[in-house]
Amino acid sequence: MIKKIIGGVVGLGLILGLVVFIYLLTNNKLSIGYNKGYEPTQPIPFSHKLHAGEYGIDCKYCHTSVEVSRHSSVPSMNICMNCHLSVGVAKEWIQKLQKRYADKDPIAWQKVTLLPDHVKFNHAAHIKAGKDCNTCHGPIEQMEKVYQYSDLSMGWCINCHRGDYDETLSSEDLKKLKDGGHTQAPINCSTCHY
Amino acid sequence: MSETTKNTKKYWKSLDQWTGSDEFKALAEKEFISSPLSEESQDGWARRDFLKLMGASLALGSFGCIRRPAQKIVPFVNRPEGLVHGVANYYASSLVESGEVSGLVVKTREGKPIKLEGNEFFPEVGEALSARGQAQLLSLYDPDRLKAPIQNLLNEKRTNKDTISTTWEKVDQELSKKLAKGGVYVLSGDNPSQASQDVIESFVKKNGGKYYKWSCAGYSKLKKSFQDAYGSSAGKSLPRYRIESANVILSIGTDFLNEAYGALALERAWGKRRNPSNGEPVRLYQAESMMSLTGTNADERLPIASSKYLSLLCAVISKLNDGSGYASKASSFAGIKSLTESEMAFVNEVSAQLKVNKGKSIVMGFGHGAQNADYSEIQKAVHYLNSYLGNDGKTIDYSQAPYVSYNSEENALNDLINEINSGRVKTLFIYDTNIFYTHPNQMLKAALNKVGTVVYIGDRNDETGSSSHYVLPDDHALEKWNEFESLKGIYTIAQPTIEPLYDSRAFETSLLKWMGSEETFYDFVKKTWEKRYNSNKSKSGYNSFDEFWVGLLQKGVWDLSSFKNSAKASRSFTGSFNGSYKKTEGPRLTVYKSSALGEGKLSNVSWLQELPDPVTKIVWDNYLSVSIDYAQEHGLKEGDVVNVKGSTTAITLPVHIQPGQEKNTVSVAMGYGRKGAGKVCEDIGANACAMVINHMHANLPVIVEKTGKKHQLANVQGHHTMEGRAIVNEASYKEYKKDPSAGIHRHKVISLWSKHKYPGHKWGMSVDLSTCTGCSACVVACQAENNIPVVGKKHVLNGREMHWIRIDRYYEGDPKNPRTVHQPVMCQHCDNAPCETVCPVLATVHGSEGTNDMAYNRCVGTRYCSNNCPYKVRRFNWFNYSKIDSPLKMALNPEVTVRSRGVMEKCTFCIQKINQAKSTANLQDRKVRDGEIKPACQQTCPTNAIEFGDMNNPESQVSKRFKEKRTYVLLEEINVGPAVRYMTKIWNTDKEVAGHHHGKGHGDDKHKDDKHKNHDEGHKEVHS
Repeated sequence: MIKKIIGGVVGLGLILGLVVFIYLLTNNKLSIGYNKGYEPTQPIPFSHKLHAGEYGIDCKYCHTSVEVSRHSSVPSMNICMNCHLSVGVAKEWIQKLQKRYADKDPIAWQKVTLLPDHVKFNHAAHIKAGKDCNTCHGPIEQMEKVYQYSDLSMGWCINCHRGDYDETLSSEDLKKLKDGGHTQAPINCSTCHY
Repeated sequence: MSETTKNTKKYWKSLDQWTGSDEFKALAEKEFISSPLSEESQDGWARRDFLKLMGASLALGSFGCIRRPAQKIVPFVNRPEGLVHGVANYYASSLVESGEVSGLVVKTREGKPIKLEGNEFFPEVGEALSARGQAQLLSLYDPDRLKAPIQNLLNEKRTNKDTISTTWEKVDQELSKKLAKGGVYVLSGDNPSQASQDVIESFVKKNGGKYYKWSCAGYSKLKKSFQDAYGSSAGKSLPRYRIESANVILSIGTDFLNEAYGALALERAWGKRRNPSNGEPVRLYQAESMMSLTGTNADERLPIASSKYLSLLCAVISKLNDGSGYASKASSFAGIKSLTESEMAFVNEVSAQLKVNKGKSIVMGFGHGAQNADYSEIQKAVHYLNSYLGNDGKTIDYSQAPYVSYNSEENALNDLINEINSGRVKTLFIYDTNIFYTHPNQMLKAALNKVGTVVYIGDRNDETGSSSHYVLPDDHALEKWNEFESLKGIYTIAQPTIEPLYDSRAFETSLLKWMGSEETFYDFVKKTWEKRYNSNKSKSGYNSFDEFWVGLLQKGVWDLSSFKNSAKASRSFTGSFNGSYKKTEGPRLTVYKSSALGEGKLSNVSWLQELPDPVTKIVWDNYLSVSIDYAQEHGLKEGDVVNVKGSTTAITLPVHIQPGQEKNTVSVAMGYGRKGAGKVCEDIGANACAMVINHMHANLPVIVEKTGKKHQLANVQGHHTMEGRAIVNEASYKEYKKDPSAGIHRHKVISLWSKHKYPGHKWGMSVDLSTCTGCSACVVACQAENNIPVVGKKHVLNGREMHWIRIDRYYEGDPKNPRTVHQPVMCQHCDNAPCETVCPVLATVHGSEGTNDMAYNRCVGTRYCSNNCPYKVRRFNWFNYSKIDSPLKMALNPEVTVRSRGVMEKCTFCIQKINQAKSTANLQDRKVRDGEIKPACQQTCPTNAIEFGDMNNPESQVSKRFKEKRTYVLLEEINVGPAVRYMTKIWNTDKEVAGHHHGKGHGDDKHKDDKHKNHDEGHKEVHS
């Protein structure tokens, strides 16, 4: 008898759990596999907070190809060495960096923001459209250790492309944009998947 | 309005369809079914098990992948200048294959060449590139390339005992000892590089030897024929045929659109002159023994035995009534009497046309089909005709910019053998010519066995390599500095676009080293250019050589020819007629260059092995093409294996029954039957070069014997049958002039659906069937651009080939001499796309710019879309074809997703190029220009048959083409509204072609709906 009751409770719990799970999943309350908040440890503890925040170095100084290419590009070591031949040379990590540079041994950084291979994202086009780096990457200038700010799900992309997140637009303007088609960011499958 | 079948043209794709055999019907029913269970049902999974397994792995997978795969980014230590991650770099270069020079633009991404394109500055050819030119890319990444120098330990009989690896240091040491003994000879193929020739010449001079150039398909006999015809003062260069200023071409056994020197330039000119919008198309009369690509494009084609070519020419000469000594002798040639009635009818028509087109015609007869015992007499007759008709110097340019890249000598090999037999040759270098394959001759083998040391400079231990003491890998053409002269005065530079992948070394660098020089071949090439610059400084437009050099590397070509000027005539015919007629009996063999493999240097490139032959549509094999009559007489069926016995050797081949083949002519392609050349081409076909005797490629007497065995040929025909619908529309030029819509059967269509809105761009493509020759360069270009996998013969047999663009070839009329049309078919990007409505997961949807998009990651592989596609252009990944290893995967285009198993794919209009161009335009604050986006197929098309652009822009080329009345829609009656439209094939013939279709259709007359049902059975209505 007790067995049956326990079995019934467990079974009911499972079913209820499944219902809740599906509800959360389909209502964007729960995301699986999107890696939002992923914060890996890098081989050299490079601080964006220090470089971009305190020193205010422009993002494009290091991420050079962001305005011309699909990729923003992680800086090659010679860019680090522009400063670190003379700046901070007494520090342990800088010395390590210098040694790696002298040995022509590139650093294998951990990729933080990851899009799957079947999505083609174009940095240059988004910069051209006036999007700030922070829009997707978050408050990078406050991050000691960089983490993935957005979930980068397709819904997240599409919402922005539809203009739903643009608070500066009135609902009328938004409607105009959507009807006009052209000025709005494209939401064709082939915009990103090809 | 009567319903009748009598005027309906019957199109058919293969003989089986023509005869309606049971095998064909079974094949047609299987069209595009290719279930995974139909072939391997015994040991394969049953479908339910498969689904069960899938369910299980799905459940496992969804919880297993919560943790991300950690990926790493490794940036440069020092970023090379000009290399931006994600942005392609383009380098001007060039390469040579069997004497033919192609101008190139090499597209590289992150330092890897990923696509070859034609160089717009390369005269006459421009951005066009042939199928083989495109495929050179994959030969760079061929996994079977030699990775370091090797040494073959040969036994006394000079067969290979063992292969050991060696190093360049050892080779340098050992060879320098041997070189000191003198007697150093070099043998190569056609070598159009001045720098390379200079290095080799000074090397052999220093070491007491000679340099020979020999090629199995060279043009030295043709060059000599000009001296026979015009006296010894005539130059020895190959003339340029100026199709652009010709009205009539008579081609005798010459496949000039495929195998001729300068074929791509000829094809380009052909394209210009076959577009009926540019005026009356050039008319082609083709007399040939086998069905060639050019033959399929001929307005009038005569199947005639190779032995009768000279007779045919003499008959034409006799009709022209010139009183000269040559003409009267030729007119009384005994062979003329052997011509049949239909052959004489052809002669009469041709001569009448030539008479009225003096100075505006071309007679050609230099192809492999004409390389029989009469070759020199045929050439003389051709030259005579061209002189008499006043073409020489007008449509035939021998003075301004003739071809100079073919410099091999037919006698070179005999001369070398004599030198060897006299004991003078101690060391022989064989540079990049695989003579034991192209000339598998016992005498040659015996002679080479006497040479102390044979060094082969090649990229693999192949036929020649395995009989050589050393095999030294040369840099690949894309890894090496070089320079070429193609047409006289037109120089191109070849620059490396990648570091050598393996431990290879440029042959010329080796020679320079062995001569004690510190220079590399790069230094030498640069010096050669400096000399050239210094003697033509004023023409360069640069102040210093350094500036010039940079400019040259950007442009790739320096044109010093006086090419733009019209040709001049200053020679007169002086030849004498020496023809003798011999009647021939029994089967006669023609050995030809196939458009896919050529002479076999690229046999290990899988793209080319899987490229359907433009005429036979067979892949992964060579075969003996026989005529329908011959097959019937001898009881041969498709795929019967036969022994073909020549005078010295025999080869074994399967039979292919070819419509349009002359009755007693059998033909076979070169390039197959390679030994030791790599995994792709091993054990495929037989080496047809073995049958070539004394440079004779045609009219070779053979005995064909059945073996009783069968061999299945993988033919991509039989799918895509058209069931009698008016798919290819044709008309004659006269009919077209009367009514530009001639030949088109239009339909009035109504739609229950509201139309899509295309507020921005609306991409469309126009395919002109009049200019499409069927050459298939687009197929390989598409494959390279879009990471299309090669599936292999077994899967092609199951109907699983993956090409996004296919070229349908239809025969029409008498099977013994059919008219042929080629029709490229790719995804039609329909407005009312039937595929979109049936996809249960919305993986294929309509884009706002008219493209039919395919989201691979959404596709679950139901294949409903493919089933519902009226054009059968969708391709399914039955297996993980793209799971390939390095180095082959380096050829992949990073802009295009690599599809995995279970995913549907198809032509995307090169959406990556569209997106790229839009992004570039956006960054530059402008709109996309017309012509800025060129899909891979359009870009490489030599005849400009394909045009792509924005249909919403009324000024775009594609809009203009769509407005032409010649444009029609494929399967208009089903109203899917394709964005791809075709233009009627216009023949320049006096025959009626269009039938009774006058561009009117159901909408224009009182046609009742009840007639529509006949469409399903075949296109039987005739409108008058």
